[in-house]
Amino acid sequence: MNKRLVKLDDIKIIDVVYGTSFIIGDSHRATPFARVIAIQKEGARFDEEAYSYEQFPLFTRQFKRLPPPGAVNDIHYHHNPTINVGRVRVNGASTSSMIQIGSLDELDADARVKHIRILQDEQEENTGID
Amino acid sequence: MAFIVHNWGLHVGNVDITGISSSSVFLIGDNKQILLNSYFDTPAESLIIGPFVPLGTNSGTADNTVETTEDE
Repeated sequence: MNKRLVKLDDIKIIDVVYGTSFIIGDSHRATPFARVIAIQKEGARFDEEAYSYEQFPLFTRQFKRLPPPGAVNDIHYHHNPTINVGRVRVNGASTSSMIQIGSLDELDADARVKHIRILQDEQEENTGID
Repeated sequence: MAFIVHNWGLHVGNVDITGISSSSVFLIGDNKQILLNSYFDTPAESLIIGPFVPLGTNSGTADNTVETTEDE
């Protein structure tokens, strides 16, 4: 498939964080991924070594995959060779995301986020955090 | 099966996005295949403060106030 040109007058992005890309131009394939353990703990002490991805099945379970492409013969006629956009404002992009001005053949993005909150009064009754 | 697409003119004015989060995409252009996967385990009682504090925009208006609510 032949790609169209993008004409963009103005873009402003405040924040691009955690495995996110902002790309101007064409590219073939992007495979961003992010693994996040977000822990909020009450109290002064925090032991970063105590947590690993292997502890949580969310980081090892499989994603569903698409069947291989090519099953449909598609023909695209671009009667106008450009995509025209005036102004773009993005406040933020986070955790294995993409912002692209231009064409992209394949995108395969994975994100796994585990939120944990550890409260002091709960720790006195139960030491498990899973 | 024949799948034929006619792309006539495409003109967009303004785009305003607050957040693109967790395996998401904002693309201006042509594309062949997109595969987006996301797992999250977020307890309902979690306090979530995103990184998107709108610094420096709309200065001097009441929109600058960022509210975060924490449950009891």
